[in-house]
Amino acid sequence: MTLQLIVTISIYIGFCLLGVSIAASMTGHFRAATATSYLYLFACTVFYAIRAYLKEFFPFTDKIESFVILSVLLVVCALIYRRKISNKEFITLQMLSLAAASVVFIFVDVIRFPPMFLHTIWYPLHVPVSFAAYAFWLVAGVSAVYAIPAWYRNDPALEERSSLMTDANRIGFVFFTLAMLFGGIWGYFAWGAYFMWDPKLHWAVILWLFYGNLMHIDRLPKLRRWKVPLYVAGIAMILVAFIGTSFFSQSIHRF
Amino acid sequence: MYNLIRILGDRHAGFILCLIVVINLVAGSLVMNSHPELYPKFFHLDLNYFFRPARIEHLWLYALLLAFSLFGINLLACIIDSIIRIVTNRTARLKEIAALLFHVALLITMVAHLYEGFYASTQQMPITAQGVELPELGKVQVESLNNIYYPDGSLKDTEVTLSFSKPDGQRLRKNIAFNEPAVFDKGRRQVVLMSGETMPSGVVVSRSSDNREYLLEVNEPITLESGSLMLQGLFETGSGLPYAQFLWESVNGNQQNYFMVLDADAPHSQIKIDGVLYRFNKVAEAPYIIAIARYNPAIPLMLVSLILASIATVLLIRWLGTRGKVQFQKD
Repeated sequence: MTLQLIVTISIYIGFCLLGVSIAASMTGHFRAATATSYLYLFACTVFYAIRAYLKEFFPFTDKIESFVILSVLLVVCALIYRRKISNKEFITLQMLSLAAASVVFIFVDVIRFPPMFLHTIWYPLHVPVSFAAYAFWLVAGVSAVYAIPAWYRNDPALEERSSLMTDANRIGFVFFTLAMLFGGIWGYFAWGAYFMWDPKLHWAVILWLFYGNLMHIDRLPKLRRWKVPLYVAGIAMILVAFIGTSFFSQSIHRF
Repeated sequence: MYNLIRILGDRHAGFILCLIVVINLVAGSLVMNSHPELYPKFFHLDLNYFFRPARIEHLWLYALLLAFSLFGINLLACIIDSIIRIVTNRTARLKEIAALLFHVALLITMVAHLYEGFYASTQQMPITAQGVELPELGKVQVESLNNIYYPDGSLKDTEVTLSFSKPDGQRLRKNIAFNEPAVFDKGRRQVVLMSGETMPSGVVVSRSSDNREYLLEVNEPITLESGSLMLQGLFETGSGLPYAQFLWESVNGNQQNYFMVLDADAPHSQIKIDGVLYRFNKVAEAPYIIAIARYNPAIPLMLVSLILASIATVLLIRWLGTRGKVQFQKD
């Protein structure tokens, strides 16, 4: 059995496990859902470990690895917030994770050595932390989506979800700041500039300012009302920053 | 005075201004994507570009500069207000200090971007073994180049040695590679490697009478017994056959062109000059790189911002950690 085959099998098994986890969550088998989520993470660990061995580098250099790492981090976030979020939110996060992992069926997986510009420590530091930020911000976004009815009714139950959004945003912001710092240093060494007029970098600034700004909204009585819609809008911004700029732009970061 | 600071630093206004900045950036992204011909790839931050000439398509940037300026004023007032409150209360929590440092870092970054946008410069050019002149760095030449490949033949890295002959007479040598630029002037000046290869630079021919080898480089004549021989260039026929063109000038001033096919087995791979045969031996190669020479006077400012943002991030992580512990104990 070749290593490439083990990689493929491990992610296919992982994909099935995630499906089982979603089904278990939907049918109220919460412990089984949690257990299969952990097994999914284990399958992904095998997937990444073998890829790292074959690439002789950190395995975050192609589109399949990027999408799967987002999927992994979404599951990690869902497990971290398991007690604080509703089952519906947990299922939504897992569905998002499944959607991200489904790229393994869309794109042909060819394990290649990383291009020369990625061969630096700043790159593997930059990528996972930015995806971690996306994952935490998506937790906040999903929570905001489920808070829409309460927001519409001005329900006091909104308060609990609101603090979760702020909490997830803060962690996401820390990760994204790290991603910006590492990415800036990498850019300086690789292209002579920590910032260029490139759609990906442009959207990174947009996200950082947007979520950084949202951290202040709890202290602004006249604007607090817009917290939920803004967090929901944040989901669209993350999708543009990740998928839009990677597939539908003129970016040098294009897959 | 304090009232003025509070008015300028109004939090609500700051939030809305930041949202306007975000909306402007989104608009800019859409414009840039729909007019790729206006915004070349690897387009470094150059604000002068948007004013040479001013165009309706750049409207988002003019609005962005205005929004950023107002946001900057608001941010500065907020920072002063926070400092006053921290100093007056004489107590500052981890979160407040982290927030303050983040805001200061953001303000410095904005100023650095403005400074860089108007005063930085970028030049992308080939650097050869013959060398090119760069401002402040003098003549730069490629001394050696070594491409390193993965087992599958794809490029892993390129190691290049550059020599610099500075205008003040100083000579130095720097090794560069991908992600390892040559850095000068405390980081303000850089020579960054984009790609590196070798290219044909001349031809080695051997004289059939004694097998002596001669290296001929383009436009550099060599002296033979009865005249001089110069390689005029390396070319390719329409069918892809490489050949070299020579100019022979005898001592009495007669000139004649010769053509040599650059394939040792081909019938025309030798030329006869003054009764002596010269055979094609090999093509001489010289290294060259494509590099970006960048000057950014805002680097020290960005470094300060980077340090402040890093400290703020560490403080925020510590604060989140202590908050997490409290939460855990509550649970």
